[in-house]
Amino acid sequence: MTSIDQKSPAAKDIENWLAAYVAKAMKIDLSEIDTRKTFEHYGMGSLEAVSLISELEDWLGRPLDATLMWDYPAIESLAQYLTTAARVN
Amino acid sequence: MLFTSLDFLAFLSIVLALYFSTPQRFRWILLLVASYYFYACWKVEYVFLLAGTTLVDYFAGLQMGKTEEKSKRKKYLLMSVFANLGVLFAFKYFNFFNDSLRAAFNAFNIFYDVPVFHVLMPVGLSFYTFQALGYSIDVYRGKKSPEKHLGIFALYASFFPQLAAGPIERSTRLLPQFHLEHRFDWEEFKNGFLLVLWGFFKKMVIADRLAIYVNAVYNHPADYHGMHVILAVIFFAFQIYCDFSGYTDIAIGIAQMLGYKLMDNFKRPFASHTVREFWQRWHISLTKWIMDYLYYPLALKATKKWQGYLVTFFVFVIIGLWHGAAWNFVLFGAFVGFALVFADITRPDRKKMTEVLFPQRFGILRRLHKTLQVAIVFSVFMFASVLFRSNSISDIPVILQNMFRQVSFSTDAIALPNFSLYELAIAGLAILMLEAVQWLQQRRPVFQSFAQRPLWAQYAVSHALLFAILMFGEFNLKPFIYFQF
Repeated sequence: MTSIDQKSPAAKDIENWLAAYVAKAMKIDLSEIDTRKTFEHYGMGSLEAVSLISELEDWLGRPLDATLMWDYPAIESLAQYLTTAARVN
Repeated sequence: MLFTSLDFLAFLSIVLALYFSTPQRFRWILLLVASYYFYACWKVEYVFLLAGTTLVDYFAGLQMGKTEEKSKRKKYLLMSVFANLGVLFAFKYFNFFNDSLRAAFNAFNIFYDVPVFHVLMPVGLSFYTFQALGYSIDVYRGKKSPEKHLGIFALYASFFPQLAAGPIERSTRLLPQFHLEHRFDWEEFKNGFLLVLWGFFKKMVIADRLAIYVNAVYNHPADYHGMHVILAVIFFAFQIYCDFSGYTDIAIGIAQMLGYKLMDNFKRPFASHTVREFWQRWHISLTKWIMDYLYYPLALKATKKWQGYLVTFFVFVIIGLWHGAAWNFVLFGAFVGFALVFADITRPDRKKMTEVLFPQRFGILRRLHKTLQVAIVFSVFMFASVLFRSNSISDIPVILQNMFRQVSFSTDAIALPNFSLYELAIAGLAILMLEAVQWLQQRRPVFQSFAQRPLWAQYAVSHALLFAILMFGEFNLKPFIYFQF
């Protein structure tokens, strides 16, 4: 796992949420999740991505583009984007 | 008015000159008049169609903004959906379904007398209806507040750089830009200008040159075999890429010169390692639109994996049909959908096979594997493009069979009467230059940092591109392929 101590708490929370989600959805041990590796590396297809976005929308309480994971294909980059986007909004 | 015509260059020069000498608060008027003039040059009557759907969408957006009640908002959303899809169906799909039904009824000797709708499809219809629908859906979902300024909204629906063939912009990205002040930025202007030149190079030097070879073979597939057909298939892949991405570069470059930012539509699709990645890099604005507004709501309802696969297949049939009202486009979409589902189903087994054949700890095997992946994806695209480009369903087996008949590498087997070895060499060099620039762009932002280079470098590059276009460009004004969609 990457060191995420220097990142903002919001980004860390989102990373943890995403890591836990991917681990549960793809039946992988949480300790094996590397936040820099792509969702596709863990076998997540379009259908899994749709479910993730849907649950992430509910958790964050705001609508998200279904294709976010194309532009931010790893847990770390997606978490950073969501934190930055929230600050801008 | 084609982008590659002198009329358009004159039009653009006038618009650019007037734009920056017009006070900010009146610029939307100038751009709106210019956009409607640009569209009227294709056919005056279609301006009324554009204006009509724009008014419906504007009204629907305002009404949705006035109420929180979902049922009332849905009523206005459906108004916008029916208006836009109704126009799209009438002009693009009515005759296709009508002819197909007639053929089916005739096969059973049943009387069928619905007349043909004799009308030319308006340029850009598939693009601007989707862009407008995206706005209505975003307002319905609460992602975008309704646009109150009718003029600005009309400009969003008709912005001339992207009106004819996209990129299909999102209301959340483009609409706010029309409200901002845009001061003249000499660096952005130069960067945009370079992108426009690059777009012209792709279109006139590569795409229109390759079209000569491709059209000769595809228009008479029974007359060609072996290398002629193989080259035509390969050339079409580059032709359609350069034609469409060239148009997109011109659109993005013009918008940039005016101070607006349009979304990227291509990201080196031929460097993709999977079919899924290809569709994330090719015509990005359409695929994202379909994913956000069609795939996502349908896939959420899928409770079993097979249902998800059915949604994927269906969505890509729709993508095929979006491209054209003909069965070969349906076949194209179905094939791509099948390829994606197949790739998903076989991913675990392919991953195991990769670990055995190409152990990732060996750098050379890892690179070989990646090269093989790119070659396979390109081959899949080339096969799909045969379905896409063929003039009819019956031509498809002819082309596929003739590819492997009498393969020879002699001059006669490679060149054509109207496409000599010299033309082949020019085409080959231009494609190499394309790949080199794209490889460079991936490593450093060539187009975004052009204006920061030394002045001599800026002059050298822009003059070299201009020289290449004037010396090697095809000047017989071929329309952009995606204008027909």
